[in-house]
Amino acid sequence: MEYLIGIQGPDFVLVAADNVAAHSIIQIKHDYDKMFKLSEKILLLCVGEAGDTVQFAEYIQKNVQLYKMRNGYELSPAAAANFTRKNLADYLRSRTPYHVNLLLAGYDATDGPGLYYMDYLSALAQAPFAAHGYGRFILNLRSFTVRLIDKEGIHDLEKLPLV
Amino acid sequence: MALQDVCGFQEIALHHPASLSISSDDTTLSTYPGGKMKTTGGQPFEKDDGSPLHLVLPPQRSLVRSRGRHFSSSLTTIPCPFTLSHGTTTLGFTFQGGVIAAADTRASCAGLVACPVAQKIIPIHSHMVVTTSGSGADCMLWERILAREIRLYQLRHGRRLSVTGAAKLLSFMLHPFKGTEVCVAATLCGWDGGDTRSEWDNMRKEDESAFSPLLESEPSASASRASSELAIDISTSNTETSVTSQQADGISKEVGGTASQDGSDQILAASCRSGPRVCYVCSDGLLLKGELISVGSGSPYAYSILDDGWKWSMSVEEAVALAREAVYRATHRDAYSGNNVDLFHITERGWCRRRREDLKDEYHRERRREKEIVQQQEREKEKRENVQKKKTGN
Repeated sequence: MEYLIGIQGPDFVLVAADNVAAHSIIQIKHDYDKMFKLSEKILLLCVGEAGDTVQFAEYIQKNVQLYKMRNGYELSPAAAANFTRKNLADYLRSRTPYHVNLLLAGYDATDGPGLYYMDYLSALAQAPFAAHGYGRFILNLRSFTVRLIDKEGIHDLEKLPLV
Repeated sequence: MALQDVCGFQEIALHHPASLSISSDDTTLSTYPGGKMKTTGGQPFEKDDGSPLHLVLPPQRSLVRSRGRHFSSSLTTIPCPFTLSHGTTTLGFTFQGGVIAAADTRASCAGLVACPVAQKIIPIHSHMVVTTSGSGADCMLWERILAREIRLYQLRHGRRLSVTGAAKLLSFMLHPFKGTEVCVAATLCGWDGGDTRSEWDNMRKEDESAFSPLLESEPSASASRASSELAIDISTSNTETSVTSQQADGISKEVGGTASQDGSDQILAASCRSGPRVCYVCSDGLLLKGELISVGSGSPYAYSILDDGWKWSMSVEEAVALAREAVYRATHRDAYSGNNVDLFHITERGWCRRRREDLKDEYHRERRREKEIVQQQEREKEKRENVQKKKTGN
């Protein structure tokens, strides 16, 4: 399944996405890029239903770029996130909803770094870390224990805390 | 479609595909993605005036998307009269010598082989072919629509649309039908290149000698398509041989005869990256650019052969052999693929088509080879046993 993860630091946001484009049981592409550059300081990561992802993300991308062309300055990450959410919400109750899960990461000169989590029901939340996909539940643990099972038995490894 | 346009049967508003995007006023950000295919009002048949397709859309009821329980509505889709099933093996890949597109020729409908000699690879223009998969009727229609739009683009801008551009256009046109029963999975294979007038003139001179022996004459289905594609062309001033079944020839000659280009088009053409390209477009909306793409029920088998043998530095013979082998293996194991293999090779100079080959012969050849190998092994074994016997005897 497609996986997105984002972590916000003191003056940066780190995002990562997997590179697989799969269609039922076949991996058609191993080097598929899921990140869309909205502006010099904003990245949109988009997963979800085939076709909807690219269509929606490119639409947002072109509109953010249009804003810059018309007004001479770029949209802030918060404004871009809210614009995206508004569009997703408008289409939610139409006959053609977009089934996409998004992460929006950006850096604002005044507010600093920002990571926004958005799901297909257009719920928007700014969070210090966020993920989409099968791995999204891992982040809720404050610490996790790792145990190793091999032919000699069960070994406890050192408990690893999440700072 | 073309005839309708020429006879003025439908209202024609010449909309450029690029002008479809924004319909709102200038002060606000546009809130309208994807094109003007949204229907308005409750008329029984809603005419869609805004798009280049000029298609009459079915009544609203059938356009409800059947996706997920969250978005269910009181309207139901019209049930399909029979189960659609699609089985095929098509593939396309790029390598240093161009692009190879290959497909089987079996058109199946559930358990019946509807046509053993279908043509699944359709040339769009002189440097691009499309392989079809999914519902045969949908593929035929959408590829004709795509061919028309590409031709219009060519006439308006004086250069061929790139493969990725054509893929984007097809994906854009298919998006409004997402969620309906339209099922098209097409692989666009072609050579992007800068076009200049001189290149076309050179091609015209070469085409008459080079392409004629390579191109096969087709059964009636594609001959009628050839004549209809020639009919699409509006500026037919220079077509010398109007009645041929060689579509590449026809189109490239017509293109050479169109209006002259100005300098800006040549600059644009020079800046386009040229080279072999393969793109996959699906009616779901998926658009993927890649080096190696296979589609259909036989694609897992084809992928296994292709992944094993593909290298960028392959020669043309190796690439053709690889494609043939991949389709052969897929047709061997997949029940819905079979009969013959069609193979197209696209280079800078255009596409050329290999003779259609019956895979039954290949199967028999392989069986004979295997039998010979087994016989040879038995002979060697006997020889060794005889030698041993002689030794123990002595």
